[in-house]
This record gives sequence, C-alpha cells and structure tokens, in this order.
Amino acid sequence: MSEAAEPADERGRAEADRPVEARLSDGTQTTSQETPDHLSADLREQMLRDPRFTRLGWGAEPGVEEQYVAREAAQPVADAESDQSEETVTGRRVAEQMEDESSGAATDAEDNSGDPAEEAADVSVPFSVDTEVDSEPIKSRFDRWDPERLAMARPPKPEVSEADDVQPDDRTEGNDRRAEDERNGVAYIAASKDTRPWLAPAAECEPIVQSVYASIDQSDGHGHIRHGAMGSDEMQARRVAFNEDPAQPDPEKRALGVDGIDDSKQHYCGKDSTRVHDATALAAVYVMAAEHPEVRAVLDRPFDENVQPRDIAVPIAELLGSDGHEFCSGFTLKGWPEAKAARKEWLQVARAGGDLSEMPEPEVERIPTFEGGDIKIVFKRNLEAKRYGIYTLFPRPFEE
Amino acid sequence: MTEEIHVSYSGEYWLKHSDAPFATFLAVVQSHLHSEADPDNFAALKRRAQSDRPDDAELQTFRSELSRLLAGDREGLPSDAIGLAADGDDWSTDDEFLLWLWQQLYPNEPVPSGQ
Repeated sequence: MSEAAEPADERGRAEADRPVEARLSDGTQTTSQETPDHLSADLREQMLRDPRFTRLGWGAEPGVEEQYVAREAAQPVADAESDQSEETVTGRRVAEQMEDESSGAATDAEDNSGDPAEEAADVSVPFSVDTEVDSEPIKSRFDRWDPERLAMARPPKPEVSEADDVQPDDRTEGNDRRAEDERNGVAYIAASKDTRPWLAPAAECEPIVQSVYASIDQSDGHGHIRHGAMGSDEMQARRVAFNEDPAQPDPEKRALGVDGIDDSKQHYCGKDSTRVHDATALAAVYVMAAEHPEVRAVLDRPFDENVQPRDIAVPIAELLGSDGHEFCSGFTLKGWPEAKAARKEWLQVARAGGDLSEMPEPEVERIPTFEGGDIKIVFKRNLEAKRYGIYTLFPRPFEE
Repeated sequence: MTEEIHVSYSGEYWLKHSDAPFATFLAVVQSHLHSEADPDNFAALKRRAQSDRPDDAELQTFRSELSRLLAGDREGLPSDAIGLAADGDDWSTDDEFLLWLWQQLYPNEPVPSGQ
C-alpha cells in the first residue's frame, strides 16, 4: 500500500462545509464566519483563531471585540525600521495562539479559500499509514482488513442494472477479494459522496481507505458521519453550541436542529462534540479497532439481543500511534452542567423567533489537546447478523 | 495503623474503573441512554429488566445501585456523573431522572426509598 493520497476532495468538502446561516431572533441572518469589518486584518485573523465560538463567529461575542480593539490600540506603531519586528511580533502572536490550540489542528491555516471557519485541521499534515503501533505499521493492518471482523458488509457492487446482483461474490478469495472490494469501494464513494457528503473526504484517499468507508457506510452507525473528516471544526462547535447535527445534509434543517439520521426528532448533543478530522486516520481507527483485544473481547462474546455491551475507551495511541491525538479535535459546552438547561432554553426561544436579548447564549470552548486521550467506542446489537458491532466512535480528551 | 485512602473520581470514570462507586449503574445508563447510543438500546434494557434473570450479574448490580441511589445513598458519586452518563436534557434533576428510570424499568414495583 502506498502513502496516503492528498487530503479530501475539495468540492465535496466545500459542499459539506457551506456556511450555515443561522436565523437570529431579530430576523437577521448571519453566517458563523462574520467578524467585524472595521478591525485590522491581523486582529480579525486572531479573533478567528479564538477558541471561543459564538453564534456571531469565532471570538466575536459582545465584549470580546472590545478586548481585541484595546489590544490593537496598545500595539506600538510600526515605523520604517521596525516594520520587520512588528510583523514578526504579530506573526509570532498568531503562531503562539495556534500553538495553544493544540488539538487536532497541528499547523497554522493559511486560509486561501477566504473561509475563516476552515480551521487548521483542514490543512494539517495528512495521517500516514506508515505510523507504527506496537512496532508494526498501520499499513499492514489495512492489508489484513476484513469488514466481516466488525460485522460489516463488504462494499456493494456498483448498480449496473436491476438484473445484476449487486452483492460481491463471497467465493472470491484473498487478493482478488481485496481488489474487488477496493474497486467497489471507490465506485461506491464516487457515486454516493454528493448525496452522502460525509463520504466526500475519503474520495481522494487510497482505494483501501475508500473500501473501509464503503463498508462502514453500509452498517448502521454514525461514527464516520458525525465524528469524521467532513467539513471543518465549525460543525463540531455548532453541534455543541446549537445542537446542529453534522449528519443533517440540509443546511436549513440543520440550523433548525433537525436530526440528520432521524428527521422525526430534534438533534441533541451532550457536553462535547469531537471528531477525527483526517479521513485516512478515521479509517485507521476502525481498522485498528478490528484487531484491538479490548474491542475483540466485546465483538466476539456470545450474542444476546437484549444485552448491550458497555462503551469502552481505548487510548488514541493504541489506534493511531503516539501522535494520533494530532488528528483529533472538538469542543465542549462551557459551564456544563448548568449550561445544558440554559442552552435548551435559549434554543427553544431562538427557534421560535423569540427575544434573546436578555438570555445568555451558549458558549463553547475548543478542547485544547487530545494528547493522552482515548477513542470511545460505542457498540450496537446487530439483530440481523446476531453479532455485536461498532455503532459509533469518537475521541475523548485525557481525564485524570 | 491502617490509613484509609479516599479516592475521588471525575469525568466518565466508570469507563476505566469498573469497581468505582456506581460504575455499573453509570456504564449501563450510558450505553442505553446517552445521546450517542443507539436509540433502540433502551427498549432492550427494559426487556432485560423485565426478565430479571438471577444469573444476569450486571443487571442485578445495576438494580442494586439504582435502588441505593433512589434511597438517597450517593456516597462516592460525583455530582455530575449521572448527567454525564445520561446526558439528555429531559430531566431537571438527578432525582427526577432516577425516578423516571425506575418507573420505566420496574413499573410494577414500589420505588425504593430511604425510609
């Protein structure tokens, strides 16, 4: 298997990352990417790096703007001789802020798209399958990948005609089977990514990665949908702040909190929302989980349709290597648990078009790092196969 | 002289400390009622509770810990633990949640109390 290809398909990401226009109580609409135009470009960039995210955007809550204005006013005026040092100080300040944001976003984001919500996570160094875990490259686990080990189906054949059998031939063995799965996986991703945007980040990945995604997408789970590489970190921030579901492909419904997997209900997010923001890394989590002893201890136990296995937490390093935490990012609701009730009330009023002027709006904070953290794995009962499988998984920061 | 060591837990401690206070109760609640869990799981827990098999050690421990909590015994339980395990916002207090849970799982049995 060769090195992982370039990061996500740009068109697919752009579609999934289209700014969500939130309807505010005063009837105006705003995207979450607006920052005050009257501030300098440098300060606007710093605000966008601010870990505080509000409905007005990054670091744009009332009161925060004044802090940035005061900070700008306190800066020394640059002259011809100190131009270089001024630029250096400013650049260093931005770099320091980015360094402080040490979650999955490893490097500074040169946001050429003009989309300020595109976090550094989107342009960080891609995950390498040459990463070693237990002295063995993750690549070799991809070479051994068999979706059946996670009670998942193989990638379906492309639908050519109704008369064709879309199921892969189970009599195919070994390398032929893998080659067939990769072909089918690539075809599935290509055919599905526009209507299932969570698949788009995998579209430019290695065929085996696409094969893994295609199998995951056949199963009844949402790890790759809500906690994967689709879109930017903004989707996670908005999920925590406003219960907006990344799995909801309709931006209008998403802004109204309609659940993307079950549109008969409102989406709910707990204290945190996190993700693995690299498509190959997310596939690696599933591939590695398939062989992890703690996961196998659950998946291989005798099946009882009424017994739900407990969630488990597997160290990120055991699935993605010692730097695996760099590919994780997420946000937490500030002021939990009291903020839970406040958020509920705020959303009820906001979505009813009520007066929000006296109500504190939900605030979120970026989780600063996932170093030492885990991947929480949530299982499911596969009643048809009478086996246990993985329902979802997502990173958790270190807890003492 | 033996020195007692008191350990205080935080966060989702039950994921890594299965013998910590109320770890079984919290783990079962989380895997059936957390917002990330399969919505079909709670129905399975209700069926399991109704079958009430004596050889179902996890369920018996769960029931015992739920009974203690309803009776007011919260020793060793961090204040935010139940809210983290069952992270929905349909309940205003832990007591409200615990009462609802008992009535859902054991509708024909009296609610345990501290009296």
